[in-house]
Amino acid sequence: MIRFLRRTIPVATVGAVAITLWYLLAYLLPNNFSTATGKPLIIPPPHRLFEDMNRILWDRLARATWITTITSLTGLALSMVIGVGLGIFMHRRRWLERSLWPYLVALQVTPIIALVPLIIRIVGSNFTSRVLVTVIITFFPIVSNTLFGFRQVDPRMHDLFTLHKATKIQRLLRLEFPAASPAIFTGFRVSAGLAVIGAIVGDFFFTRGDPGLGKLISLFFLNNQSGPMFLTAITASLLGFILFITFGVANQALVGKWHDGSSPA
Amino acid sequence: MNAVLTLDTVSLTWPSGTPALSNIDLTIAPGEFVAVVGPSGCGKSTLLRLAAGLQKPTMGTIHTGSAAVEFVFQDPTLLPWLDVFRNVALSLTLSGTEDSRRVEEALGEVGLAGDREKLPRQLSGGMKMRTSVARALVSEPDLFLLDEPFSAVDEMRREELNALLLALHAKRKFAAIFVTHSVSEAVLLADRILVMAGGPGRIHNEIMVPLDRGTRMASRFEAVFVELTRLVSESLKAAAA
Repeated sequence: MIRFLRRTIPVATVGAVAITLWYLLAYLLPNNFSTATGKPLIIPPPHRLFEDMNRILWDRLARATWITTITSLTGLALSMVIGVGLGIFMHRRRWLERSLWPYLVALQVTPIIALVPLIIRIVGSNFTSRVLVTVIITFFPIVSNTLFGFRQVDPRMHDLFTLHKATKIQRLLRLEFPAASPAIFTGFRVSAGLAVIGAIVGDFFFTRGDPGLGKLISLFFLNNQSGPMFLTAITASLLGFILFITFGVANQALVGKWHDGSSPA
Repeated sequence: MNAVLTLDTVSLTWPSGTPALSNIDLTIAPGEFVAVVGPSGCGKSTLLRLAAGLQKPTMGTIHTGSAAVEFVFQDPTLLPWLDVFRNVALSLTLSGTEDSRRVEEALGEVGLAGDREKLPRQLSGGMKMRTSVARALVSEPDLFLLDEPFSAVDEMRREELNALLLALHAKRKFAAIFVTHSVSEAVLLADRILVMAGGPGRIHNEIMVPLDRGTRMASRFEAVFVELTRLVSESLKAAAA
């Protein structure tokens, strides 16, 4: 019970402070409420978040959440495959790491907006483009953590496998992969949170097809529907949080029982 | 009888040009227990790595023939995601041999029969080292290479592990090279002690230990044991000078 309280009280306290600040901001911000209708224009106070919501808007929100989830998970899955694969190759071939690393860093720090015209011209302005943006945003933490995890394998364990004449596949599957898995999972967790950001950023630039949460946010913004807009943003945060937590739980289940450094989900 | 290990004028120079070992001649007979002592950095561990084939010499030749060689590292080097049983079975798993009887036997010999399902993080330092020894035993080695294996455990556990090693050697009759910083541990375990000197590493002296292997633990406080310890210590001081 005491342990439960120790874990929940700090979280609840920060939550209460955040909601208080939200209220203060909503009521102290000049011109936040329409003088004609009394509706919030920029920030709705928490208890007025739902007042503009109706069946149609809830359906749109649900549909957009589904689209963003699919975009995020597709991009994340591709990043996991590409990131882990590239990380392993870069570990095995130093020349590949030396050749690629500066460009991977450059791609990671390049603002997506600079790539938008290129992506539209090559891929189009569709679901694939949104997935591509998600991949660009999420794959770097997975590559770098995979590389780090493989580098951290105890050299004496490598000696042990050399002594027993392990094949390259045995070394990869029975030593390097399990030993690197805590670091790889850390990369997955970071990228899981970023995947939702990637999907939403993609929504802003690539607008064809069903709207995801990003497109819905901009639609609500243009229609001065601050309540639904904030609700959509909160839904996006929750989605990112759920993905982050999911990988935390998976990490704990697969790695936590033997790895001291794995943080609780 | 054929030697399990022969080093013939073996030298090793690091890629930086620093000589590590110079003109090492060494023959280990089957069942012979050799301890190696020497100042830090004199190349004791490198000598073991050469014997294990983990390092190639720059000059000279190393023969192990068909002898099965096993290595026990300074740290237990257990795979933390595998339980005790699977860690001990590692060499069999890698060679595609499934023989749980051999694993059970090795676990029994090191006193871990009841801990087979524990993960390394659930073991004490001494138990981890026993697991590491059992992992090496499973291969039924002809030559056991041990690199300061008990240096990280407390004195009481160390004494237990030394007794265990003596018992295992008596039963299995493997040859061993045991690197240690402890002179008394070397006298306790070995038939022959190599005293190494550094800069570059070379064998400075060889001292035979003419004590009955069956009564080693009991003989630790006898005059002859103490005298041998003094002899090795003096040789070690001369090597370090």
